[in-house]
Amino acid sequence: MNNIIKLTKRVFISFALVVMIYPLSIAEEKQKLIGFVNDTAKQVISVIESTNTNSQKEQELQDIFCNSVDIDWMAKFALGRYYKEISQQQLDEYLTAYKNFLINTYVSKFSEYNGVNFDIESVKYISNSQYIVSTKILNKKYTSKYISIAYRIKMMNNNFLIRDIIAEDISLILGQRADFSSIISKEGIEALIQKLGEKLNKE
Amino acid sequence: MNILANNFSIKLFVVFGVLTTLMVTLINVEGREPINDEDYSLDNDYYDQSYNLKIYDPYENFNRKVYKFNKIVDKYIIMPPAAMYSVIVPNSAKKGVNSFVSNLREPLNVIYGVIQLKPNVSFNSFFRFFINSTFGILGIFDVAELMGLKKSNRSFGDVLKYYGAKQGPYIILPILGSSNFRDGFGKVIDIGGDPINFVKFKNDKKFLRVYYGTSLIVEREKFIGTDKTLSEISLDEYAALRNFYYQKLNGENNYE
Repeated sequence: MNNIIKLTKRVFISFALVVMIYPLSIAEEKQKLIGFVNDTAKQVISVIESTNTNSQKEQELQDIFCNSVDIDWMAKFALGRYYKEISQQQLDEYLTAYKNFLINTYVSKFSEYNGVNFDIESVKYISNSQYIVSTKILNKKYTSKYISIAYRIKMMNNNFLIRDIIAEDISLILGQRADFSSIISKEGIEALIQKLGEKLNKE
Repeated sequence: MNILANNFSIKLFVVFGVLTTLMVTLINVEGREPINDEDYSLDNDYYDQSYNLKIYDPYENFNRKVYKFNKIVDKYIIMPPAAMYSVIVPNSAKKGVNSFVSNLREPLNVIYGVIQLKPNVSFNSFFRFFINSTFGILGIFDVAELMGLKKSNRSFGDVLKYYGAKQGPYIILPILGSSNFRDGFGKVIDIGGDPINFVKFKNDKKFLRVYYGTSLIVEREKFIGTDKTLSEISLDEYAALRNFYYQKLNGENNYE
């Protein structure tokens, strides 16, 4: 009988501990996450406003991008169900092509962040160490309207990695998956890799 | 209200609206559920299984042709004046133009509110129209918004949805772009039912042409930049746009 009481006590205490610690750790992570987003934004802005040459700037922005974005994961997600069908060699080719494509498309967009107002609206925990950080961005040069941009961020080994950009409720990687699937289903994976490469040469 | 009571066209429009609503409800436009062609089974870690993007595009080949056509029309006819408007007109004036155009549509919102049996929508739009047309100087300033009467534009598509019509297949409308059967049909009714067609200018074709042309350009100006981004970030623009359209349509916060 004593044992049972002891056991119940233990279960109860550990349960209470879990309940207390769990939200605490999430709250802590949230704080860290806000720090991460602010730091990254600061880094980007300081590079843009620095007096370096354009090619230097681009290299620095690229480094920031690669360090804060989970490019491999996004590449695999964008493949969707075709991820299972692709051969190792194709996968390697695809990953390289995707990485270049992503860097090329998005790093150039950073320069548009020059002189924007940027506020973190909320941080929401979803699941599996993933958060959605919602921000509001205002670029007075072009418009008087705020644009809402959210980032889906995963915490991995004490590091944060961006896995999706959600602009005005539209998820980038869901769009990419639809885009890529359409090409793979009609023309095959090789065509997709080729088109990713062509996109680079065009710009 | 005198205009309403005396104008045969408006009555005809309301009757037509109610009839089509009933008809659509009875036959339910389309019996099939949209198929779900997305597969999220790559990893349960992300994009929850509950996320259901219902894309139904049986007329893809045809739609792609209309999409191409629209791009050409846009490039040579709609975009040049829209780009000029964007550069020349200052932001504050654009805001005025937007308010003016959307104020003219308020009477339609009143009617849609009535058809949907939502008196608050009707009253909201009625007072917005009254306040903005007078104190807001013909609707150039959205004074009602400052007074707490928020803008909520209804479309005939909303009315059909309210009475249970399903979206139906995805379509690209000529010039107007992405839509579905229900909302596309609604859009046609919206344009036909625009109060400007019935009041005073109803026989002035030249005026109507200028009015519709201007509204189109004003509307187009809002998307300058977005279209460039779309072609930059996508390989198959049509497929990417279709996905974005459905993400937006399926509502907010679905990605969580």
